[in-house]
Amino acid sequence: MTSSTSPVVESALLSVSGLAKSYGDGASRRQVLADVEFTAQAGDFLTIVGPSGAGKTTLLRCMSGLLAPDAGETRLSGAPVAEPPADMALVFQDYSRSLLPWMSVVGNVTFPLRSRGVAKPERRTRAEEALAAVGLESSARLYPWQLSGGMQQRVAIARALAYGPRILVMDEPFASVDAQTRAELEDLVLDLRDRLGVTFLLVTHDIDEAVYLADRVVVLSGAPTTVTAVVPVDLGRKRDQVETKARPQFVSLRSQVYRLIRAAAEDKEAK
Amino acid sequence: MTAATGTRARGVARRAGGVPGGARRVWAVKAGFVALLAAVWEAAVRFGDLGTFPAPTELCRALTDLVGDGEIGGPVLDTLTSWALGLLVSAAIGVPVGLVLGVSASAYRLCRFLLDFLRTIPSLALVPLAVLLYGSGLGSKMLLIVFTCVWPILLQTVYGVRDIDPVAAETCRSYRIRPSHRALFLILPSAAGYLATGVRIAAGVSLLISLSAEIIIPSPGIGQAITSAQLGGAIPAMYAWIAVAGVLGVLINLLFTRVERRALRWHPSQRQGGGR
Repeated sequence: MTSSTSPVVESALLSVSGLAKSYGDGASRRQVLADVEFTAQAGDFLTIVGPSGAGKTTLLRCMSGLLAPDAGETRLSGAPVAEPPADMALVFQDYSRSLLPWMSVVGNVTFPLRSRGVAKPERRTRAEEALAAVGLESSARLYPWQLSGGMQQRVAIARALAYGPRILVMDEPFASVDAQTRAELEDLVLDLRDRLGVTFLLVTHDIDEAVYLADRVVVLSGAPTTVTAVVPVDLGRKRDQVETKARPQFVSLRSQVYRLIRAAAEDKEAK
Repeated sequence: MTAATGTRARGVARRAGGVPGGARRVWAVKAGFVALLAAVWEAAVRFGDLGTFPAPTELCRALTDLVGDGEIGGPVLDTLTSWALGLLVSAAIGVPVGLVLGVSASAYRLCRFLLDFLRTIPSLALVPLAVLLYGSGLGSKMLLIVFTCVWPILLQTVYGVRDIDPVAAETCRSYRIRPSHRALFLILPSAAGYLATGVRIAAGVSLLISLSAEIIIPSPGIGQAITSAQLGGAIPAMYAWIAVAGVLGVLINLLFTRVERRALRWHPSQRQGGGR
């Protein structure tokens, strides 16, 4: 918490400091997060990668107030996160279970707003805007299970956008869709960041994806997890699935992140 | 266990309704089969010796007599009243208690022994108590029905609440959904499939207990009509009343299957087309 006095952290939209979490107790106690620390500036696109078993989901749940950490804290706009904050929206990997099947697409998108007491006309406009932003304006009356996987994840993203958050936190959001859809959704979130100025924090196990999307890549070690490095990605704001990925800079960044992850994993094994 | 039965029943219903042209042929075959059985039955009564067992034609005549002189109305109304009220009260108790026991693991542990004990008591063992408390009227039947029907509804509700998808629950938490909205839009719909099965089972049981109570107590209704017909030597009428009870059972089951299918259109077991 002493680090939260530094000027960089002070101005950050999201700051995670000294986060630690372990499961179980006694002999079966397993430390997942040791000391995780990073910040996200407003408008940032931050991706988090790490070897499998690095506790990425645990980190995300601690950060979003769904799980209480053993130590450390997360601050959003300067306020400590103790429960899910109103300025943060989550998109889960498992869209089919995250969307409620008994509600239509528009019902799902407006549900958090309705619960928050937003008036009906405003709910409607916000849902229309959000659905238009993800290209689903014509599917509002359908049920989520009548849509393809990629479209369902678009609905989940629309729900997050309509919520009006300052930061959108996504847990391996494209891990369950096919490669083509995945590329489309990656470009969709980049486009949303450009047009709406929302801050993105995306957890992934895919190094290509992490580099392609990010302004900065947070590389995690294996459990017990710390931040191994924060790699700045200076590929510019405009990205292209073919061109960007062919650039030497992209290739070298990708190798750099890959080496960091491998080294971190080997390092942990050696201990 | 009960939930699995319900799912299977829904699956069968869906397959039969899938192809309209095929369905008509299936119905024709079914009707033909029933007609064949009736013919064999008629022949067996005419040419064999089945005691007091009536031929289908006799049964039909007795049934038309019941309907014709309006005798059918009173008992059917009595039975249906206790059936519906009993089911309603059972749901009014079973659903809220089930919700609480489903949400709170400690409450469930606390009540589990009592629950298992109470639901193994055969409700007919309570007939003397019911008569003592309420005489031979509606109250007695209600007591017996509610005591039997509350369990399937309550337990199915508990199972349903426990089956809430953790991802859906986490989503609701992350979007700060109010407790009342969680109950109404997350917990209740999640439990709806189980709940519908519980109510459908209870609906059948309610009719069963209604009739049993009417025969044993005896209390006004179809059950009593069956007994009186038998005691009065009106054997075809007795069979006619039994048939009335059977038809009622079939109609009730049909009604609840229909309602369930409409109300749970979104449920994976009910989805027709469009799902990918």
